[in-house]
Amino acid sequence: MKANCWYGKNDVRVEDVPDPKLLNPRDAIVRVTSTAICGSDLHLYDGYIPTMYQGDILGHEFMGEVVEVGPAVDNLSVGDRVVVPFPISCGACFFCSRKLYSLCENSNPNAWMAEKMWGHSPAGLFGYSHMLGGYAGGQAEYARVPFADVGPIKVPDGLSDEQVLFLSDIFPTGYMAAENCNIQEGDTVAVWGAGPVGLFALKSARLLGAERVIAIDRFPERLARAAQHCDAEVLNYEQVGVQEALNEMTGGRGPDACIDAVGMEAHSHGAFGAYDAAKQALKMETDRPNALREAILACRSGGTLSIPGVYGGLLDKLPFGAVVNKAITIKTGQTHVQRYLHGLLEYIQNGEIDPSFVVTHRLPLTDAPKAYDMFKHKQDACIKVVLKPGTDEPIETSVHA
Amino acid sequence: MALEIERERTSHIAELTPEPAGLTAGERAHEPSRYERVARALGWFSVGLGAWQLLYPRGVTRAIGVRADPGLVRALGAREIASGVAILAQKRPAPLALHARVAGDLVDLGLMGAAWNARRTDRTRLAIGAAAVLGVTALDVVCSQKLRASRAARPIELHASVAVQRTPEELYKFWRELSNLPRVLSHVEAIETYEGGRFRVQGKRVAGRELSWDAQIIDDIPNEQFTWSSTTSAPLASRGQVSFRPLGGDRGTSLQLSLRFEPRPGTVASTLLHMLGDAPEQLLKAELRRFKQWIETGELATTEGQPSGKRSLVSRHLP
Repeated sequence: MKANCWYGKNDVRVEDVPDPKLLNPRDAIVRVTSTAICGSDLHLYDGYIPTMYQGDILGHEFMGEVVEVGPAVDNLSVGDRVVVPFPISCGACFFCSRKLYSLCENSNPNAWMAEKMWGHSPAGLFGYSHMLGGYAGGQAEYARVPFADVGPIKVPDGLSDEQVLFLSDIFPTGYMAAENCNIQEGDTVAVWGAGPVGLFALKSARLLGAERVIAIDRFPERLARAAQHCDAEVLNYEQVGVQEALNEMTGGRGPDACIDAVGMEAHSHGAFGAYDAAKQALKMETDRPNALREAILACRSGGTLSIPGVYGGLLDKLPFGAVVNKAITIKTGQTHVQRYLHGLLEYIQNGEIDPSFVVTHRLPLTDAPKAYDMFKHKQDACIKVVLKPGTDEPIETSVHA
Repeated sequence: MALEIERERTSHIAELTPEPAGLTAGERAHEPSRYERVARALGWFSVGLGAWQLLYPRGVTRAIGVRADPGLVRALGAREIASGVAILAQKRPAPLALHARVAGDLVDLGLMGAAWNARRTDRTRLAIGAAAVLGVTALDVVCSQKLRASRAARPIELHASVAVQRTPEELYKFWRELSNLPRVLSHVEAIETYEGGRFRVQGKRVAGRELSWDAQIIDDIPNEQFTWSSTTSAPLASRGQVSFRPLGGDRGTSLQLSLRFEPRPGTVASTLLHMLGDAPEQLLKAELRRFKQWIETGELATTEGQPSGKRSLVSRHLP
């Protein structure tokens, strides 16, 4: 089969690899019909996540048709149309039984690596480094899905791939980020980063009752989508001082909740930007946490900071004094996708949200290298790329909202 | 509730240091031996000397009465610091780290010898310097030999624990049925059980050698823990304990496994164990994790046999 493999910084290639096989009784094999490139895939593409090896198959947002099930999978049949969550979860351990699926204790065969880095190991993920399991990902024609009786959700035929594909990661991720804000009546929620996760966080914050949502980014096309689809007020941080603007919008108090949907590769200007770029280049810090710094300083006293953005290692110059003295609650974590699937599918079926609004580009899987480059450099107003396996035909170069 | 073991039945139990196997991490922390302290002092000496060479190379060369390129002295200083850190970074200094110091001493002595005939060398100062280096070299050699000797005689203790989402009763039942254990412990091929808590362990073949030994349950508290010990006929004196403690609420059970081996110097088994170094504890932990996976999910998480693109020479051999 064809699969998109990682070979190093800025180097992914679509290769011919063997088809996946069932390896365990609770496995299933899915023929991938749609798969997407996630912003967090760019952290791999940019070489910031350790324990990636040449030849690793990428991709953790995918869906398709079940073509084979292991003997212990009793809830799926060949032919079922499913969306696969990006964390691999056993459904039986201490964490899974508390619905903390991304912390599953039984799905990471390389748990010792994560323990060395973080003290304890979270769940294994598809296509996201050996430290997180080393599982082959879904940017391929077929994928093996472990614990297939726990993760995949069956989706009705009436909904298109693009309406349900993002249940695999970014929609639940944005939703959990908003849920973590513990939104109360009248709340203002500010979201750093209006990429796909930020857009879903804005939309979800609205669904959960936020009075105002504010999107912070520098790309006009993202801000336009935030305004149009999420009913957000927008701030372009290249044009205004974010903290001053947020204060002005909230009577000087700051937003009740702040969401960092940017993560470890934040862009920034001035001294901090140069400082982080230099330290990261010298491998003296792994993450550039500038959105996080801003969000901490902007957040109102007693407010909540929710972090869906991915951080990998060590962060410098975080204003932790502000966290303590303003009594800020921090909530974060990889998304417990399985917990949200059914509720969010209902939102989609009821027409309260159509997640396909984030898609800007559709390309054949074989164009993955081009798609990564385009997504990384935000060329052609690229916000979200969907890859279609099994075709070499150009699908649609771009669709602008 | 401890099972009473009659006196005459225990007479064939191998003599081990009477320390119980199931110790907490705090209790297992050891007092450093005299030579381990010497080794650490040598480590700090390396760091101090190295810092001096790195920061004031001219001061060092003046003290030993030679003229030398400050760059060379700084390089020697960096090496000195590295060998010091190598000693200090270990919980228990290994003889190998001291060998690195000895090698460094020999390089220093070689360079001093080369400087002896140089025109501007102060030979009195250089002789004093060389004597000092020789003295430290002797201490390095003695210390590394003593460490090696004490290592060979030291019992090997392995300890690992894992939280399992089962009750202590369920876990006790599984473990106390000793014939289940080969499914958990990869170094065990088979276990045959006999009357009176006796059993025979058939180890996995190691380097073509078959190893089997007799053991006996010497203490048994149902649903809490049990302890076994090898008998005198075993090639390696060993003792093991497994215990099951509820973690409270719905947190399952903490399963703790302790193994203690007492080497009989010169035997194949003990040499082998020492060659493994730190690895056995890692292996033991991995085995308990696999046990947990198997009991909680019915399978072992794996990626073995999944597809990938072309691997590089290095990544082909990584996990």
